[in-house]
Amino acid sequence: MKKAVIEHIVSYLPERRMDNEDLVAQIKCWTADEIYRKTGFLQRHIANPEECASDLAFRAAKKLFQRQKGLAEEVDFLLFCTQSPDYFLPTTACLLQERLGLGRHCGALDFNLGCSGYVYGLSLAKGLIESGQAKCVLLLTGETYSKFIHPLDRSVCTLFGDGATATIVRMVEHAAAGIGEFIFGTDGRGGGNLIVPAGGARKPRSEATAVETVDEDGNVRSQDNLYMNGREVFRFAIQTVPEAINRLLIKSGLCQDDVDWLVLHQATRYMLDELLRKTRWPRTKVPYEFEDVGNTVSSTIPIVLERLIAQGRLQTGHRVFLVGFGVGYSWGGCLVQWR
Amino acid sequence: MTRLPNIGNVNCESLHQATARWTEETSQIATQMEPNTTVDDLRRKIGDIVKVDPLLLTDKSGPKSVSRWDSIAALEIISLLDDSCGGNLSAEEAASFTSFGAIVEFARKKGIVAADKQ
Repeated sequence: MKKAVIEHIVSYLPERRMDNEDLVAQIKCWTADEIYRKTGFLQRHIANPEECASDLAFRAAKKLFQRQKGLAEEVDFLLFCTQSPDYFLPTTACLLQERLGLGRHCGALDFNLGCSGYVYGLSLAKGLIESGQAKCVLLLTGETYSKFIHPLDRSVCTLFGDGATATIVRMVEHAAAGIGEFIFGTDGRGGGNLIVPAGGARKPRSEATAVETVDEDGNVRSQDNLYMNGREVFRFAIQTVPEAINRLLIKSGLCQDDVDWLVLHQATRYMLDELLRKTRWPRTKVPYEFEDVGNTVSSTIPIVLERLIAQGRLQTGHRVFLVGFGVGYSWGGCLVQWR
Repeated sequence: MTRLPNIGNVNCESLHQATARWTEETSQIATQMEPNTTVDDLRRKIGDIVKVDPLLLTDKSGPKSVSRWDSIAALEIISLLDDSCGGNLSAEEAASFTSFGAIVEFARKKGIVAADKQ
Protein backbone atom coordinates (compact mmCIF):
# COMPACT_ATOMS: atom_id res chain seq x y z
CA MET A 1 0.00 0.00 0.00
CA LYS A 2 1.40 3.37 -1.02
CA LYS A 3 1.80 5.90 1.75
CA ALA A 4 2.64 9.63 1.49
CA VAL A 5 5.42 10.61 3.84
CA ILE A 6 6.93 14.03 4.59
CA GLU A 7 10.62 13.69 3.96
CA HIS A 8 12.29 17.12 4.04
CA ILE A 9 11.24 20.64 5.02
CA VAL A 10 13.32 23.76 4.41
CA SER A 11 12.42 27.41 4.79
CA TYR A 12 13.74 30.60 3.23
CA LEU A 13 13.24 34.04 4.77
CA PRO A 14 14.16 37.31 3.01
CA GLU A 15 17.25 39.01 4.36
CA ARG A 16 15.60 42.35 5.03
CA ARG A 17 14.04 42.56 8.49
CA MET A 18 11.61 44.91 10.10
CA ASP A 19 11.66 44.93 13.87
CA ASN A 20 9.27 46.71 16.20
CA GLU A 21 11.45 49.81 16.45
CA ASP A 22 11.35 50.10 12.65
CA LEU A 23 7.57 49.84 12.81
CA VAL A 24 7.30 52.51 15.48
CA ALA A 25 9.23 54.88 13.18
CA GLN A 26 6.93 53.92 10.31
CA ILE A 27 3.51 54.08 11.95
CA LYS A 28 4.43 56.83 14.42
CA CYS A 29 2.33 55.50 17.23
CA TRP A 30 2.59 52.74 19.82
CA THR A 31 5.89 51.71 21.31
CA ALA A 32 7.96 48.66 20.43
CA ASP A 33 6.77 47.05 23.66
CA GLU A 34 3.14 47.72 22.76
CA ILE A 35 3.59 46.08 19.37
CA TYR A 36 5.16 43.05 21.04
CA ARG A 37 2.38 42.90 23.62
CA LYS A 38 -0.31 43.08 20.97
CA THR A 39 1.21 40.64 18.49
CA GLY A 40 3.87 38.50 20.14
CA PHE A 41 6.24 39.39 17.28
CA LEU A 42 9.66 41.00 17.59
CA GLN A 43 10.48 41.17 13.89
CA ARG A 44 9.31 40.16 10.43
CA HIS A 45 11.28 39.38 7.26
CA ILE A 46 10.26 41.55 4.32
CA ALA A 47 10.94 40.85 0.64
CA ASN A 48 12.77 43.49 -1.38
CA PRO A 49 10.71 45.37 -3.97
CA GLU A 50 12.05 43.17 -6.77
CA GLU A 51 11.62 39.88 -4.84
CA CYS A 52 8.47 37.92 -5.63
CA ALA A 53 6.92 35.09 -3.63
CA SER A 54 8.17 32.73 -6.33
CA ASP A 55 11.74 33.96 -5.76
CA LEU A 56 11.47 33.09 -2.09
CA ALA A 57 10.04 29.67 -2.92
CA PHE A 58 12.77 29.16 -5.52
CA ARG A 59 15.44 29.85 -2.90
CA ALA A 60 13.80 27.47 -0.41
CA ALA A 61 13.76 24.73 -3.04
CA LYS A 62 17.38 25.41 -4.06
CA LYS A 63 18.44 25.17 -0.43
CA LEU A 64 16.68 21.83 -0.25
CA PHE A 65 18.28 20.53 -3.45
CA GLN A 66 21.73 21.63 -2.29
CA ARG A 67 21.28 19.56 0.86
CA GLN A 68 19.86 16.54 -0.96
CA LYS A 69 21.81 15.87 -4.13
CA GLY A 70 19.86 14.26 -6.93
CA LEU A 71 16.51 15.13 -5.41
CA ALA A 72 15.48 17.58 -8.16
CA GLU A 73 15.57 14.76 -10.73
CA GLU A 74 13.14 12.70 -8.63
CA VAL A 75 10.43 15.37 -8.34
CA ASP A 76 7.50 14.44 -10.56
CA PHE A 77 4.96 16.98 -9.29
CA LEU A 78 5.27 20.58 -8.12
CA LEU A 79 2.57 22.28 -6.03
CA PHE A 80 2.96 26.00 -5.29
CA CYS A 81 0.75 27.58 -2.65
CA THR A 82 0.68 31.35 -2.99
CA GLN A 83 -1.68 34.31 -3.07
CA SER A 84 1.03 36.39 -4.76
CA PRO A 85 1.59 34.78 -8.17
CA ASP A 86 4.09 36.30 -10.58
CA TYR A 87 1.33 36.84 -13.18
CA PHE A 88 -2.35 36.09 -13.61
CA LEU A 89 -1.05 33.72 -16.24
CA PRO A 90 1.00 31.73 -16.88
CA THR A 91 0.94 29.56 -13.75
CA THR A 92 3.86 30.44 -11.50
CA ALA A 93 4.54 26.75 -10.81
CA CYS A 94 5.27 26.31 -14.52
CA LEU A 95 7.87 29.08 -14.34
CA LEU A 96 9.34 27.49 -11.21
CA GLN A 97 9.58 24.13 -12.99
CA GLU A 98 11.87 25.76 -15.53
CA ARG A 99 13.87 27.78 -13.00
CA LEU A 100 14.43 24.76 -10.77
CA GLY A 101 15.40 22.53 -13.69
CA LEU A 102 12.71 19.98 -12.93
CA GLY A 103 11.95 17.40 -15.58
CA ARG A 104 9.41 18.17 -18.26
CA HIS A 105 7.46 15.06 -17.26
CA CYS A 106 6.60 16.92 -14.02
CA GLY A 107 3.08 18.10 -13.25
CA ALA A 108 2.90 21.62 -11.83
CA LEU A 109 0.16 23.85 -10.51
CA ASP A 110 -0.46 26.82 -8.26
CA PHE A 111 -3.15 26.87 -5.66
CA ASN A 112 -4.40 30.05 -4.05
CA LEU A 113 -4.75 29.61 -0.31
CA GLY A 114 -3.31 31.41 2.68
CA CYS A 115 -3.08 30.24 6.25
CA SER A 116 -4.70 26.85 5.56
CA GLY A 117 -2.56 26.32 2.46
CA TYR A 118 0.07 23.96 3.83
CA VAL A 119 -2.52 21.50 5.11
CA TYR A 120 -4.37 21.60 1.79
CA GLY A 121 -1.05 21.15 -0.01
CA LEU A 122 -0.32 18.03 2.00
CA SER A 123 -3.78 16.75 1.12
CA LEU A 124 -3.15 17.29 -2.59
CA ALA A 125 0.26 15.65 -2.32
CA LYS A 126 -1.19 12.66 -0.45
CA GLY A 127 -3.92 12.29 -3.06
CA LEU A 128 -1.44 12.36 -5.93
CA ILE A 129 0.83 9.84 -4.27
CA GLU A 130 -1.65 7.37 -2.85
CA SER A 131 -3.58 7.29 -6.12
CA GLY A 132 -0.40 6.40 -7.95
CA GLN A 133 -0.18 9.64 -9.95
CA ALA A 134 3.09 10.83 -8.44
CA LYS A 135 5.94 9.52 -6.36
CA CYS A 136 7.83 12.61 -5.25
CA VAL A 137 5.94 15.86 -4.73
CA LEU A 138 7.66 19.19 -4.13
CA LEU A 139 5.24 21.33 -2.12
CA LEU A 140 6.24 24.99 -2.03
CA THR A 141 4.67 27.77 -0.02
CA GLY A 142 5.60 31.39 -0.69
CA GLU A 143 4.06 34.66 0.34
CA THR A 144 4.76 38.37 0.17
CA TYR A 145 1.79 39.97 1.95
CA SER A 146 4.09 42.90 2.66
CA LYS A 147 3.53 44.05 -0.92
CA PHE A 148 -0.22 44.37 -0.29
CA ILE A 149 0.10 46.14 3.06
CA HIS A 150 -0.14 49.93 3.43
CA PRO A 151 2.74 51.11 5.63
CA LEU A 152 0.34 53.13 7.79
CA ASP A 153 -2.12 50.29 8.43
CA ARG A 154 -0.98 49.08 11.82
CA SER A 155 -3.74 46.44 11.95
CA VAL A 156 -1.74 44.38 9.46
CA CYS A 157 1.78 45.80 9.04
CA THR A 158 2.61 44.68 12.58
CA LEU A 159 1.55 41.09 11.87
CA PHE A 160 2.61 39.71 8.53
CA GLY A 161 6.07 38.63 7.45
CA ASP A 162 7.25 37.25 4.11
CA GLY A 163 8.73 33.82 3.67
CA ALA A 164 8.70 30.51 1.82
CA THR A 165 9.15 26.80 2.46
CA ALA A 166 9.90 23.70 0.43
CA THR A 167 8.65 20.28 1.48
CA ILE A 168 9.20 16.91 -0.16
CA VAL A 169 6.34 14.44 0.15
CA ARG A 170 7.37 11.02 -1.07
CA MET A 171 5.68 7.73 -1.79
CA VAL A 172 6.81 4.92 0.48
CA GLU A 173 5.52 1.38 0.09
CA HIS A 174 4.07 -0.26 3.18
CA ALA A 175 5.00 2.54 5.58
CA ALA A 176 3.29 2.44 8.95
CA ALA A 177 3.76 6.19 9.42
CA GLY A 178 2.95 9.09 7.12
CA ILE A 179 0.24 11.59 6.32
CA GLY A 180 -3.06 10.43 7.76
CA GLU A 181 -6.60 11.74 8.15
CA PHE A 182 -7.76 15.18 7.09
CA ILE A 183 -10.61 17.52 7.96
CA PHE A 184 -11.52 20.58 5.92
CA GLY A 185 -13.74 23.59 6.23
CA THR A 186 -14.77 26.57 4.17
CA ASP A 187 -17.01 29.55 4.87
CA GLY A 188 -17.04 32.08 2.08
CA ARG A 189 -19.14 34.47 4.18
CA GLY A 190 -15.83 35.46 5.74
CA GLY A 191 -14.19 36.35 2.44
CA GLY A 192 -14.55 40.07 2.91
CA ASN A 193 -12.83 40.04 6.29
CA LEU A 194 -9.35 39.34 4.95
CA ILE A 195 -9.08 40.61 1.41
CA VAL A 196 -7.22 42.70 -1.13
CA PRO A 197 -10.30 44.17 -2.78
CA ALA A 198 -8.78 45.48 -6.03
CA GLY A 199 -6.37 44.04 -8.55
CA GLY A 200 -8.20 40.90 -9.58
CA ALA A 201 -10.80 40.30 -12.25
CA ARG A 202 -13.71 41.35 -9.99
CA LYS A 203 -12.30 44.86 -9.47
CA PRO A 204 -9.26 45.84 -11.56
CA ARG A 205 -6.93 48.45 -10.17
CA SER A 206 -7.68 52.05 -11.13
CA GLU A 207 -7.19 55.59 -9.91
CA ALA A 208 -10.33 55.14 -7.84
CA THR A 209 -9.11 51.99 -6.09
CA ALA A 210 -5.85 53.71 -5.19
CA VAL A 211 -7.61 56.40 -3.17
CA GLU A 212 -6.52 56.13 0.46
CA THR A 213 -8.98 56.28 3.32
CA VAL A 214 -8.57 56.36 7.08
CA ASP A 215 -10.66 53.98 9.18
CA GLU A 216 -12.09 54.68 12.63
CA ASP A 217 -8.92 53.28 14.26
CA GLY A 218 -6.69 55.61 12.24
CA ASN A 219 -5.41 52.95 9.84
CA VAL A 220 -4.71 54.09 6.29
CA ARG A 221 -5.35 51.90 3.27
CA SER A 222 -6.81 51.85 -0.21
CA GLN A 223 -8.68 49.12 -2.03
CA ASP A 224 -5.33 48.07 -3.50
CA ASN A 225 -4.15 47.16 0.00
CA LEU A 226 -4.78 44.25 2.34
CA TYR A 227 -7.75 44.74 4.65
CA MET A 228 -8.34 42.59 7.71
CA ASN A 229 -11.25 42.80 10.13
CA GLY A 230 -9.19 41.52 13.04
CA ARG A 231 -12.05 41.18 15.50
CA GLU A 232 -14.16 39.16 13.12
CA VAL A 233 -11.28 36.93 12.02
CA PHE A 234 -10.54 36.29 15.70
CA ARG A 235 -14.19 35.38 16.38
CA PHE A 236 -14.15 32.99 13.44
CA ALA A 237 -10.97 31.31 14.67
CA ILE A 238 -11.98 30.82 18.31
CA GLN A 239 -15.29 29.30 17.23
CA THR A 240 -14.00 27.19 14.36
CA VAL A 241 -10.59 25.87 15.35
CA PRO A 242 -11.56 24.07 18.57
CA GLU A 243 -14.34 22.27 16.73
CA ALA A 244 -11.97 21.42 13.89
CA ILE A 245 -9.45 19.92 16.30
CA ASN A 246 -12.20 17.85 17.86
CA ARG A 247 -13.33 16.61 14.45
CA LEU A 248 -9.78 15.61 13.66
CA LEU A 249 -9.45 13.73 16.95
CA ILE A 250 -12.69 11.88 16.25
CA LYS A 251 -11.78 11.10 12.66
CA SER A 252 -8.35 9.89 13.70
CA GLY A 253 -9.79 7.80 16.52
CA LEU A 254 -7.49 9.55 18.99
CA CYS A 255 -7.77 11.58 22.15
CA GLN A 256 -5.64 14.52 23.20
CA ASP A 257 -3.30 12.31 25.23
CA ASP A 258 -2.49 10.28 22.10
CA VAL A 259 -1.24 13.30 20.15
CA ASP A 260 2.31 14.50 20.72
CA TRP A 261 2.15 17.88 18.96
CA LEU A 262 -0.56 20.30 17.94
CA VAL A 263 0.97 22.64 15.36
CA LEU A 264 -1.40 25.55 14.81
CA HIS A 265 -1.11 28.26 12.20
CA GLN A 266 0.98 30.91 13.98
CA ALA A 267 -1.48 33.77 13.58
CA THR A 268 -0.57 35.88 16.64
CA ARG A 269 0.36 35.06 20.20
CA TYR A 270 -3.00 36.13 21.58
CA MET A 271 -4.81 33.90 19.09
CA LEU A 272 -2.73 30.88 20.12
CA ASP A 273 -3.18 31.68 23.82
CA GLU A 274 -6.94 31.86 23.40
CA LEU A 275 -7.11 28.64 21.41
CA LEU A 276 -5.11 26.86 24.09
CA ARG A 277 -7.41 28.21 26.78
CA LYS A 278 -10.53 27.11 24.92
CA THR A 279 -9.27 23.67 23.91
CA ARG A 280 -7.30 22.94 27.11
CA TRP A 281 -4.37 21.52 25.21
CA PRO A 282 -1.17 21.62 27.29
CA ARG A 283 1.25 24.33 26.27
CA THR A 284 4.05 21.74 26.12
CA LYS A 285 2.38 20.15 23.08
CA VAL A 286 1.71 23.39 21.20
CA PRO A 287 4.83 25.04 19.78
CA TYR A 288 5.10 28.82 19.52
CA GLU A 289 7.65 29.66 16.84
CA PHE A 290 6.84 33.10 15.54
CA GLU A 291 8.58 35.87 17.47
CA ASP A 292 11.32 36.36 14.89
CA VAL A 293 9.29 35.79 11.70
CA GLY A 294 5.76 37.13 12.24
CA ASN A 295 2.76 35.59 10.53
CA THR A 296 4.12 34.07 7.31
CA VAL A 297 0.70 32.84 6.16
CA SER A 298 0.98 29.40 4.50
CA SER A 299 4.58 29.02 5.68
CA THR A 300 3.93 29.19 9.43
CA ILE A 301 3.19 25.49 9.90
CA PRO A 302 6.17 24.12 7.90
CA ILE A 303 8.48 26.63 9.62
CA VAL A 304 7.37 25.25 12.99
CA LEU A 305 7.96 21.69 11.79
CA GLU A 306 11.39 22.57 10.46
CA ARG A 307 12.33 24.05 13.82
CA LEU A 308 10.99 21.12 15.81
CA ILE A 309 13.09 18.80 13.64
CA ALA A 310 16.20 20.95 14.02
CA GLN A 311 15.70 21.08 17.80
CA GLY A 312 15.42 17.29 17.95
CA ARG A 313 11.97 17.51 19.48
CA LEU A 314 10.07 15.87 16.63
CA GLN A 315 10.78 12.19 16.75
CA THR A 316 9.95 9.14 14.67
CA GLY A 317 6.56 7.81 15.69
CA HIS A 318 5.26 11.11 17.04
CA ARG A 319 1.66 11.90 16.16
CA VAL A 320 1.38 15.48 14.97
CA PHE A 321 -1.76 17.50 14.31
CA LEU A 322 -1.36 20.32 11.81
CA VAL A 323 -4.19 22.87 11.80
CA GLY A 324 -4.29 25.86 9.44
CA PHE A 325 -7.06 28.47 9.42
CA GLY A 326 -7.69 31.93 8.06
CA VAL A 327 -8.24 33.80 4.82
CA GLY A 328 -11.26 32.58 2.85
CA TYR A 329 -12.42 31.60 5.37
CA SER A 330 -10.64 28.29 4.88
CA TRP A 331 -9.39 25.80 7.41
CA GLY A 332 -7.97 22.33 7.45
CA GLY A 333 -6.30 19.88 9.75
CA CYS A 334 -4.40 16.66 9.36
CA LEU A 335 -2.68 13.98 11.34
CA VAL A 336 0.91 13.18 10.46
CA GLN A 337 2.60 10.23 12.05
CA TRP A 338 6.24 11.23 11.89
CA ARG A 339 8.60 8.93 10.13
CA MET B 1 -9.60 13.83 30.56
CA THR B 2 -12.88 12.66 29.06
CA ARG B 3 -12.21 10.20 26.25
CA LEU B 4 -13.79 10.84 22.92
CA PRO B 5 -16.89 8.86 22.01
CA ASN B 6 -16.12 5.69 20.08
CA ILE B 7 -18.23 6.06 16.99
CA GLY B 8 -17.14 2.92 15.21
CA ASN B 9 -16.95 3.19 11.44
CA VAL B 10 -16.74 6.85 10.55
CA ASN B 11 -19.22 8.32 8.15
CA CYS B 12 -20.00 12.00 7.68
CA GLU B 13 -23.29 11.95 9.58
CA SER B 14 -21.97 10.13 12.66
CA LEU B 15 -18.85 12.30 12.65
CA HIS B 16 -21.04 15.41 12.62
CA GLN B 17 -23.21 14.15 15.49
CA ALA B 18 -20.23 13.07 17.59
CA THR B 19 -18.52 16.41 17.01
CA ALA B 20 -21.63 18.38 17.96
CA ARG B 21 -22.02 16.39 21.17
CA TRP B 22 -18.33 16.77 22.04
CA THR B 23 -18.33 20.50 21.28
CA GLU B 24 -21.37 21.04 23.50
CA GLU B 25 -19.71 19.18 26.39
CA THR B 26 -16.40 21.04 26.15
CA SER B 27 -17.96 24.49 25.64
CA GLN B 28 -19.51 24.21 29.07
CA ILE B 29 -16.04 23.74 30.55
CA ALA B 30 -14.47 26.74 28.81
CA THR B 31 -16.87 29.51 29.92
CA GLN B 32 -15.30 32.34 31.84
CA MET B 33 -18.43 33.63 33.58
CA GLU B 34 -20.12 32.07 36.55
CA PRO B 35 -23.84 31.34 36.65
CA ASN B 36 -25.97 34.22 38.01
CA THR B 37 -23.52 36.85 36.83
CA THR B 38 -24.68 40.37 37.65
CA VAL B 39 -24.01 43.62 35.88
CA ASP B 40 -21.49 44.45 38.61
CA ASP B 41 -19.68 41.15 37.95
CA LEU B 42 -19.59 42.00 34.27
CA ARG B 43 -18.35 45.50 35.10
CA ARG B 44 -15.48 43.99 37.11
CA LYS B 45 -14.56 41.62 34.27
CA ILE B 46 -14.59 44.38 31.67
CA GLY B 47 -12.71 46.68 34.03
CA ASP B 48 -10.02 43.98 34.38
CA ILE B 49 -9.76 43.66 30.61
CA VAL B 50 -9.51 47.39 29.88
CA LYS B 51 -7.42 48.07 33.01
CA VAL B 52 -9.81 50.60 34.47
CA ASP B 53 -11.41 50.88 37.91
CA PRO B 54 -14.79 49.21 37.33
CA LEU B 55 -16.52 52.03 39.17
CA LEU B 56 -15.34 54.41 36.45
CA LEU B 57 -17.01 52.44 33.66
CA THR B 58 -20.19 54.06 32.40
CA ASP B 59 -22.59 53.01 29.68
CA LYS B 60 -20.74 55.32 27.28
CA SER B 61 -17.26 53.99 28.11
CA GLY B 62 -15.64 52.50 25.04
CA PRO B 63 -12.49 52.41 22.87
CA LYS B 64 -12.59 56.16 22.25
CA SER B 65 -12.78 57.10 25.93
CA VAL B 66 -10.73 54.34 27.59
CA SER B 67 -7.11 54.26 26.44
CA ARG B 68 -6.53 50.57 27.22
CA TRP B 69 -9.71 49.51 25.39
CA ASP B 70 -7.50 48.65 22.46
CA SER B 71 -7.54 45.90 19.84
CA ILE B 72 -6.40 43.23 22.29
CA ALA B 73 -9.01 44.29 24.84
CA ALA B 74 -11.66 44.09 22.12
CA LEU B 75 -10.58 40.50 21.40
CA GLU B 76 -10.68 39.61 25.08
CA ILE B 77 -14.21 40.97 25.32
CA ILE B 78 -15.26 38.97 22.27
CA SER B 79 -13.76 35.83 23.79
CA LEU B 80 -15.46 36.43 27.14
CA LEU B 81 -18.88 36.89 25.61
CA ASP B 82 -18.45 34.14 23.01
CA ASP B 83 -17.79 31.69 25.84
CA SER B 84 -20.93 32.90 27.59
CA CYS B 85 -22.96 32.27 24.44
CA GLY B 86 -21.71 28.72 24.16
CA GLY B 87 -19.41 29.64 21.31
CA ASN B 88 -22.23 31.00 19.15
CA LEU B 89 -21.53 34.72 19.13
CA SER B 90 -22.45 36.07 15.72
CA ALA B 91 -20.42 38.54 13.67
CA GLU B 92 -23.09 41.20 14.12
CA GLU B 93 -23.17 40.70 17.89
CA ALA B 94 -19.37 40.90 18.14
CA ALA B 95 -19.36 44.10 16.11
CA SER B 96 -21.86 45.67 18.51
CA PHE B 97 -19.50 45.70 21.52
CA THR B 98 -18.55 49.35 21.05
CA SER B 99 -19.34 50.51 24.60
CA PHE B 100 -19.88 49.10 28.05
CA GLY B 101 -23.56 49.94 27.74
CA ALA B 102 -23.84 47.94 24.52
CA ILE B 103 -22.15 44.99 26.20
CA VAL B 104 -24.56 45.10 29.14
CA GLU B 105 -27.52 45.32 26.78
CA PHE B 106 -26.28 42.26 24.91
CA ALA B 107 -25.63 40.35 28.14
CA ARG B 108 -29.14 41.10 29.43
CA LYS B 109 -30.72 40.08 26.12
CA LYS B 110 -28.86 36.77 26.16
CA GLY B 111 -29.60 36.09 29.81
CA ILE B 112 -25.89 36.16 30.67
CA VAL B 113 -26.47 38.68 33.46
CA ALA B 114 -29.13 38.44 36.11
CA ALA B 115 -30.72 41.41 37.84
CA ASP B 116 -28.37 43.57 39.96
CA LYS B 117 -27.99 42.50 43.60
CA GLN B 118 -29.79 44.79 46.04
